[in-house]
Amino acid sequence: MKVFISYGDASDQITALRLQALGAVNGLTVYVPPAFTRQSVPPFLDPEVAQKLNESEVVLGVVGMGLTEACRRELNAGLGLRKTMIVMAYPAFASQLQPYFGSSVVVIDPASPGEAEIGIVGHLKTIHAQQSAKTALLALGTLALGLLILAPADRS
Amino acid sequence: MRARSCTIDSSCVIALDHLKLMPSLSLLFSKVLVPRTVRKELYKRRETKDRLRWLFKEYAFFQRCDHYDQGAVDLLLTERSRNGSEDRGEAEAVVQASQVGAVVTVDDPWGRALAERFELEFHGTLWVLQQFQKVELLSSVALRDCFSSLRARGVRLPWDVVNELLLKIGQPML
Repeated sequence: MKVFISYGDASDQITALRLQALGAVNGLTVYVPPAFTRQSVPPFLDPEVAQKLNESEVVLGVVGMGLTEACRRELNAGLGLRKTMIVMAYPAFASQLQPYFGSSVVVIDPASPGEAEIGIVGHLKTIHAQQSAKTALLALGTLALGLLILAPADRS
Repeated sequence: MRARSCTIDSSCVIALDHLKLMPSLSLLFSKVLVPRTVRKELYKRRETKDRLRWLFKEYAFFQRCDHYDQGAVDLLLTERSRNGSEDRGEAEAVVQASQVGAVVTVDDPWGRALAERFELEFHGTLWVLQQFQKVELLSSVALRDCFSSLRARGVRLPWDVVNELLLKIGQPML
């Protein structure tokens, strides 16, 4: 199973890399775009990133500390390619993402993480995808939830 | 959970990059700080220079660090009574770690002794690989392959300790 993780900004990459390592332990091939894609605003999606996105079966968005144009483009491309997708975002960014990605956006409120878990399961019930893709998203989404809840303390 | 950073010396960068395990270091540390002299050492050879530049471009948690007490580093090297060119990287890694409360990731025995003197938590490539095996990022066989690859690459590790570890996890010694 190939998974593409689109992270909000450079400081969210650590969460994506941790998910990549934990995913590898569980047999998932996880691609995380390089940090330089978040440090400038190129006019189009990086070709290698676009190829990896195209090859992936599942897209997981992780938006905790910021939201860059590169992340928006990747998520839009994922939507256009009809990938099985979940975007996990802190409340500050969720409101910017919901108009475009609708029910794919799961809001992570560290004060009530249970809501996010319900959101992930609820979204997976509504989408048509292979069971393996849903299982991968549920597993990575749950791990992402834990990592994002801990992220503010980790950066303090 | 508090932020956990580490400073790193050149031999650990070379070893972990050789094994393509640098991104997995994110499981252990939120920031990996690379002192100026460590960068200088790695910039001396084309191959390691290119790799280091690539690591900075690829991973945001892998960062340059230039702000630390150069005087303290000079003093330590004077004490060491050596030219300083070879050990400066380790001294910078230790002094910087003491200033920012980071862990020191260093393989060099003098660097490790210095970190101990500064009462800092310190580890080396061996410990990092052991942690990866504990979380099952590396199987026992893969861990042995890593050590074997590092030995072939000419990386200096405490091979007697490595062999003890391999026996403990049911793997043949190198």
